[in-house]
Amino acid sequence: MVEFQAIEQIERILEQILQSGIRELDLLRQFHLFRFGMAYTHLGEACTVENGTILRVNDTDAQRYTTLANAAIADGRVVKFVPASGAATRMFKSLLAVEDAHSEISLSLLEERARNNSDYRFTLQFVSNIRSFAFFDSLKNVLARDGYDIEQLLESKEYSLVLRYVQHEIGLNYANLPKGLIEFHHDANTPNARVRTAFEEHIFEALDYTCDSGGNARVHFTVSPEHLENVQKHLDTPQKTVTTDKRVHISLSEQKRSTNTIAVTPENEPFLTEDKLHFRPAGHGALLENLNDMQADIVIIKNIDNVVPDRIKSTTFASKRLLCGLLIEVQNEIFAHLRAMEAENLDRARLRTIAAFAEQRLLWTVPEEESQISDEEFQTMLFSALHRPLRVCGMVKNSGEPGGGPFIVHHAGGSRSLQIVESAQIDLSNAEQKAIFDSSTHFNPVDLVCGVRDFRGKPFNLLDFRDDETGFISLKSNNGRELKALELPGLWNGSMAHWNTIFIEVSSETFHPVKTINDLLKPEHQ
Amino acid sequence: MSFLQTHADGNALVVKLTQTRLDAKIAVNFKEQMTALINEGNTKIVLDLSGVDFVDSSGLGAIVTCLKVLGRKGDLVISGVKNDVMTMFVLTRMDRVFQMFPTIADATKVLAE
Repeated sequence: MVEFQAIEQIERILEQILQSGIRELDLLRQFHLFRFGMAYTHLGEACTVENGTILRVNDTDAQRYTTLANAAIADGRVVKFVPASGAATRMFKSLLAVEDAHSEISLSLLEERARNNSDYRFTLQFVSNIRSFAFFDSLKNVLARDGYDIEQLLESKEYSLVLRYVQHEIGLNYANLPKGLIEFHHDANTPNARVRTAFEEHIFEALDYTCDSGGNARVHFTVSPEHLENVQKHLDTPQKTVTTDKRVHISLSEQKRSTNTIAVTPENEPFLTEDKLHFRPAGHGALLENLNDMQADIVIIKNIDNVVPDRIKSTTFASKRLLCGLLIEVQNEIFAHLRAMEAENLDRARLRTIAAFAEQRLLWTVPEEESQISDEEFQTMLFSALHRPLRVCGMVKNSGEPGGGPFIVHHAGGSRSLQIVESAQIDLSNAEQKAIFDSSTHFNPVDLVCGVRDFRGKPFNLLDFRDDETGFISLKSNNGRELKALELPGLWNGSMAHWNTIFIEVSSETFHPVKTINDLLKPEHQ
Repeated sequence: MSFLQTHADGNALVVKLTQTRLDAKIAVNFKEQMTALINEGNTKIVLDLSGVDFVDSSGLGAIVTCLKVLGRKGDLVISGVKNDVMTMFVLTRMDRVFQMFPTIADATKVLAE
């Protein structure tokens, strides 16, 4: 006899699936990936300047690219896209660890433990330099609101209250806010001298390289649902008005719940919490849907934590124009070839010219049996190879930063492509693959310019160009229970796997990420 | 339009779904046809899903409703599910409530006992 409670549980789960918006076919695919795993990405070679897969731009080319970019910017073709859904919790990991371990945090405790423990070293650096953070005045004000004098607290050399007011709801609540809401910089030398959050710095950047001839700049932030209202309020306040002759059009979108993925137990059974399935956000790859919904033309993608004060923004401005101009130049050539192929059947000689372009510029693989393929088939292959989104990705010389890098990836059937690959995608137990991964000379700072419309001006459906088999499975825990979580293919990894890709070397001056709160103490952020 | 083929096998009624998908499009219809069969007095039913490639949450909900209609007065068992359909049963915990058999013969044998 069937238990009534069991049927009730089933009905709850079925209702949950319906409400989640997640398609059953996606659930099946996710379950399949948990059970059978994902194939490793097969590296062929690291991309380098020497093997021609990372471009190093000379002054003449740079000038040409800048001119092309400026024209596109003036025409209003360019918009900036900033993934900003993540919380800042990881920036405060060390401070939170120290705070968890002690109810009182004195200078002597920090100094004593700092010798052997990096969390205490980090906290000591934080409190010793607290006046240098842009948010110092805000912190002083929230403490004063509750009757505390920050100077007295610092003088007493007991920091537990200060840490609490920086990190938790009682004060600034920074450990729970999105990174974009943290006050990053205070630049006394700018005309509008004031403190700026990461959101505001991105807006000021966008004013330079997305502002059309009519004075309209465009920037899009992705935000997590729980912070949407806060962010909206922050971006709406009158003090964010930038100049009198320019307008910033800010749009926001949430990571869609329908892109969440199911979690399973280590035995690949459904992981249940309170008798329901457990769904989790699927990483930044889920933002491909947000990017797709924008129906944009040229999109500049940059991480929320990689911004600098105005005084050193000029290198970034110039670099963005290089990427944008290169994209437009290559895109123009691609579009010309596509229009020619659409208009008529081209002869073999002409097709071979196009194939040479695709091979040289985009690392397209000319099929070995090319001579045995009919002209019509060859043209169809070339059309398909060129008719896809295009991205130009800035790459910075390796300096030991974590993160993915640019590689030539080999595929079944003998083709190859340029991809940004993370270490989790590689079989690092394979000595050959590890050696290739370790030989990379450049890494990915997330500095992309994307052409997402086709030669007819129609937006591509970007979901058609994702490789669904390149996600990540990781072990996590929920209330002390182990679970297996699935991340969708990363936004600039598998989510763009079937795009055409060009890598270009960019200056390390364009890359100043704020991964921990103390990164804001570095000279470039002061 | 009927999506179901039926035949008696011993004391059981074997119901075969003739569609390859049991989804929102046909779930309501499926539920009505199954309810009619139960109301005709069939209390031991084998639902043969061997021709079904895909079932969504509406389809699964329809099967659960049939079980509830049958209540304690009978048995509804499943036979011949393919891998993807089985996964949906596992995912929704339905595999813990429904008796499932590889073949119709296996199912009718148990119902005859």
